[in-house]
Amino acid sequence: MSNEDRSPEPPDAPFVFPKWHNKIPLVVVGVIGPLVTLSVIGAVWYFFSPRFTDVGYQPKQPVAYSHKLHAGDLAMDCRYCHTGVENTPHARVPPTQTCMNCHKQVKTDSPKLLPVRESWATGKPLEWVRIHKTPDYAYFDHSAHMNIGGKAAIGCESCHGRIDQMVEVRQHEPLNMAWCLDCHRAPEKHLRPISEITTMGYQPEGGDQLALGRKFKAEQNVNPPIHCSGCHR
Amino acid sequence: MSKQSEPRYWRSVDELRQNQSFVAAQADEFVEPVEAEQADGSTRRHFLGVMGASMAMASLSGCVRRPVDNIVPYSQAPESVLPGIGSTYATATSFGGRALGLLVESHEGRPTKIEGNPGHASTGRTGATGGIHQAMILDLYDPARMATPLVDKKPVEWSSLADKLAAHFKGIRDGARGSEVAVIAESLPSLTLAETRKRFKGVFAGSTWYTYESVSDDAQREGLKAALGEALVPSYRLNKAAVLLAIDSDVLGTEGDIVQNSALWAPTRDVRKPGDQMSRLYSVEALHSITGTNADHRLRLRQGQIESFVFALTAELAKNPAVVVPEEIKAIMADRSAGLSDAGKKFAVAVAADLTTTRDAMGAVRSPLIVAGPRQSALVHAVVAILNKTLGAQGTTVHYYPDVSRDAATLGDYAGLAALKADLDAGKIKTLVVLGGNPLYAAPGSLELAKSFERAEHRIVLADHLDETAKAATIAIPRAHFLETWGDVIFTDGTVSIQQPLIAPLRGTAYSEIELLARLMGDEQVDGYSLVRGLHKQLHGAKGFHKAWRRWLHEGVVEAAAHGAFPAYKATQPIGALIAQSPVPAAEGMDLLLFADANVFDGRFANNSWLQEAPDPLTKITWDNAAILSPATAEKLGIGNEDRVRLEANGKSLDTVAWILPGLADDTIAMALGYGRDFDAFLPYHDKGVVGFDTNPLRSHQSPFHTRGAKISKTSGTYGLACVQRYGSQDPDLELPENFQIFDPRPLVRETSLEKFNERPDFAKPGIIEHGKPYPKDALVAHPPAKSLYRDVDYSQGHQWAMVIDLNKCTGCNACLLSCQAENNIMSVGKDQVRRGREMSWIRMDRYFVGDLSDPQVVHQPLACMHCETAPCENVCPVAATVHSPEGTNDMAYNRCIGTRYCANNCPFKVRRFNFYNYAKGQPELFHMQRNPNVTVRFRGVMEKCTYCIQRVNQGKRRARLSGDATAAKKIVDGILSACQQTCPTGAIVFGDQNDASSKVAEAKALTRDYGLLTELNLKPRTSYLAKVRNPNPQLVG
Repeated sequence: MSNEDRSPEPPDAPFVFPKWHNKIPLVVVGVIGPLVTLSVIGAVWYFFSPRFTDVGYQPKQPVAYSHKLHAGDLAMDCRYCHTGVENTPHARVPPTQTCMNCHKQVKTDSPKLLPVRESWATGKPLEWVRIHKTPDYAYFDHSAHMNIGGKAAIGCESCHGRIDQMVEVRQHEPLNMAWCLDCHRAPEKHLRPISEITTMGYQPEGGDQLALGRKFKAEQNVNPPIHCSGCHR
Repeated sequence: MSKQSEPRYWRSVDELRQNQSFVAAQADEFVEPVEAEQADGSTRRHFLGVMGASMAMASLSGCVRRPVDNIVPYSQAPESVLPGIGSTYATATSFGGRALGLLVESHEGRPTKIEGNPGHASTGRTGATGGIHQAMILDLYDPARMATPLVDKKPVEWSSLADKLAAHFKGIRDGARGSEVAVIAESLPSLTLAETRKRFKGVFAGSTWYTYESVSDDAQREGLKAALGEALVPSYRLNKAAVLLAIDSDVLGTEGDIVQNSALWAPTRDVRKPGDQMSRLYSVEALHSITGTNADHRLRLRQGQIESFVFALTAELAKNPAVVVPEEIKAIMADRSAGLSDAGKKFAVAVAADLTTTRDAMGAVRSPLIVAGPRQSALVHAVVAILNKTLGAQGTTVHYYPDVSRDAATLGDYAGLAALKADLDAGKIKTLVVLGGNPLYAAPGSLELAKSFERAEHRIVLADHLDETAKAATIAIPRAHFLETWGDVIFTDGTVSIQQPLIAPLRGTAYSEIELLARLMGDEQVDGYSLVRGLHKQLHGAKGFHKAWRRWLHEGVVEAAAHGAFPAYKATQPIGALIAQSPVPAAEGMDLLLFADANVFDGRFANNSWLQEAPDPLTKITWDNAAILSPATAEKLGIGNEDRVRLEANGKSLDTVAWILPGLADDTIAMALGYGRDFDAFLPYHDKGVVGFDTNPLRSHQSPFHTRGAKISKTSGTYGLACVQRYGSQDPDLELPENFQIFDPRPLVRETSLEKFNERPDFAKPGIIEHGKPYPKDALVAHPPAKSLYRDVDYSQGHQWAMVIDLNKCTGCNACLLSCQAENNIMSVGKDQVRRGREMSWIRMDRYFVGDLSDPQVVHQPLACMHCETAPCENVCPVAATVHSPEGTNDMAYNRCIGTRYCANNCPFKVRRFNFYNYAKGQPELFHMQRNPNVTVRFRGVMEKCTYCIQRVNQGKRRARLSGDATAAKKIVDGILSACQQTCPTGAIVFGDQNDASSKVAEAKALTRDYGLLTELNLKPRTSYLAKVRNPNPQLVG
């Protein structure tokens, strides 16, 4: 635009949009549009993903049970309560009976344990709130991850986080398919000796997880399925 | 291209004649127009409108947290239950008097799947079952089962029922009025029941006990009683029979110990290499039965002529000096065989020669066997028993055992029912106890039992449903399902099994037969467990009983048999008296033949949607029975498929529908029993109401299966039948346009004779032609080696799952189809949906006719997803919901499927099934208990198909890995069975890892009979077939 173009306007001339207004559509289409689109995509990407919606899910449980106390401070093995985790698809939530094994002697009149004692007396089960949930069409099998050739395993903390530090359990990982596949494509990131399944804060000897994982992967022919029927049927 | 040397395969009369309607239907992908109105009256356009609106609404309410889900552990956990891992218990059941040892799978306390017990003689030690046994699991969860007892049609508490029964029968005992009591029971082969029956007769002195089965072996019992002096039950050893003659008998399909028979017959049809011996099966029948379809030679005769054939055969056999025929039979042979046609005579000569050939070409002993079916007269059964004795079959191919469900004094079923009616009419019976069996429905109409039934003042009926009999009862009591109650079951050969319950009665309480009888007798012990255990403790002795009992429960078999093992050779007796009372059959008018339905049997399984929807093995009709006619008879009478007709017999008439079945005898109307009953097991897309036509009113108790002089006439209009072999078809002959040439223009079913197989064992392979004449050289177009457009995948490593189906062994019995339904949560859809071509069954049992329209041969071919290595369905899926796994299976990811149906369109085998509706939704919650927890229940809009039972494969692989030992792991992987394979009574289906050279499937694939379907399209199907080899008698060929 040169100065010659800007001829003085007569005072009673009708209002004419300044020429720069012509750029508005360009700015809208070229700058704001992409920005909005990108932020919507970004927002959906982030806010609709299980990493945002599911991680940190910490519902209130019927019993104020502290994993920090039992698994952390008292250092009880996970499998004392979650039996079957090594040989069945499910890590069972313990029956009331398991609680009462100890709590017949320990803290027998704690008000926090009232629902447990009630359940024991009436036979009515406790209704725990499920935290870690895979969809019905995904068939996750704990035992497949707990025993790989009798030598290696995936530790509890790889998926459930530092349970020993959680007073109330919350979801630590998104548990979505992309997350599953991350590990199925590179299991060496999480393979550890079978003796260390329940260890929290496990550090491999020498500190090189990848080296250890690769060793297990090669020795045990670890080849996690990444095809549909591996998990869906 | 010359195709003259190939046989022509066809599935219906319309197809053979290329009728207009058939040709038009072939051109369409769907049975109904795409824009057709839906079941609920809405159109596709309307649907889209509603969907758009609801999508908009749903997106508003979609932004909420996921619903709260609870985990409910046990309070006190039972030791044996491992969540997620099914446990299996041994038990046993029986129907129609025939027992089967079972292993039943249970998940968290819910029985989900029935399998045969591989350690039990009744399954031929294969672990197979029949189709009906598979569907019995659904009966357990039938929502229409009676839940509470009814007294005078009003529900009462169980305790007040018990008091009422106790008081009433105490009165009878105290007043010694036992003669006023009659019991009518099903034929239940049970030791405890037999014992209870004996005691009952003692406690109620003078009481009468009747046994009634709608499909009864009365004639056989009477014939064997005359010929062998005792009413025995034959048990066949088909594995030893080199020549089997089935006279009007469906020994492989619906009659007798079918699982054992099929399992033992199959190995005799196993031809692996040239020179292998093969048994020969002859069938003489008026109906077209499963056995007839598997016969090497089938003689189509009118019902009245079958007896003539038996005497003609006897006359031929008598010419052989080694065969001893009693003089009294010789005296009547000529007279009674006079009416036989020339074809029949020729057949008799050839069969007689074959039956008396005692050594085969290799010098091995050939044992013959003759089997007669329940529709034949006592005289035929007596003659057959005598022939079996003189031919040396008795003791080798047929064993006889006592019948535990009847006493020597028990009358025949129909005679008994007539006697009961007479007693009722005379007012002799005040209290009538009915132990199941629904006699008011299943009794022959000639007895008019319903009117007489009311004459008994107290009618106590133990029944599963509020059925015809229970509705007429003064006291109706829910009967326990066999998985809910303790009992014991005796197999024909005397093997005893404890019937172990897997679940407490679903509705709180239910009585079994023995529990009810114990209450009536005022016993202290009235629970099944004490009754059964008590009796067996008494029989075994207290010493070591506890251990033995636990072993029996675990193995499913009690060591001590109920009756002594064969040989109890029976000398034959003079049968003069029987001859004197058996009239010479005269053919007049049309024959009406009634037979037990292959699915709903005598009607007791009528409320089972799986069985209703399983196609009839021959007509392929679901959800109905029809008056079946031969093509010639139908033409003569001017009756077509689905025409409404009126059937008249024994003075009664029935308005029904006609269906044409090639292979049926002319001037014969055949109709299945077991229909015309209410269907109330709720299905969302099936209207409640009567299914099919009740044929019982047409029966006479003197001749319950065969009526002479029946009439059939066309009335106006048509009635829609749901036949599953009219659409979605492949052209079995590959009829191609003139100038379209193809490498391997062969039918989908390939067959040859044993003789030709020996000459050319690889006849089924592409490019090699059978049937004598070689193809003209120029017909074999040199197709360039087929090459995929996609990158070739290396399948040489790891497990590679594959299946082989042996057409030689497949009898077409439907067991695989029903097993698949139970294992894979496949929904029944109802008659209306089947008519629209929407049935969900993953296995399609194709039935092809070959040859002459009036008397064709039949080939059965089970067809499921072929798991093609270069699957055409995969590359048309826009969302990659169906893709290949590295182990060679064609996977379906249901959660990805958006329902475009492109895959089904592109599937050359038409084996993909689409969920047009949410068929699972709205089904009763009880049905949910049956579902296999390891298989997804599919939603509306999702495609599904055979997965090779991937859940079983995955579990097997897991277990193999956990075993941590190579030998054990291999054994586990070898033990992976697909559901169809596990259930197949003949072992026709083999599944496994084809990369493992020692696996059964690899062995089968290496056989020369192995061929794939449509391989010229470069599909590389993982499922292949073993071509059929028939063993015709050279005397009868040509």
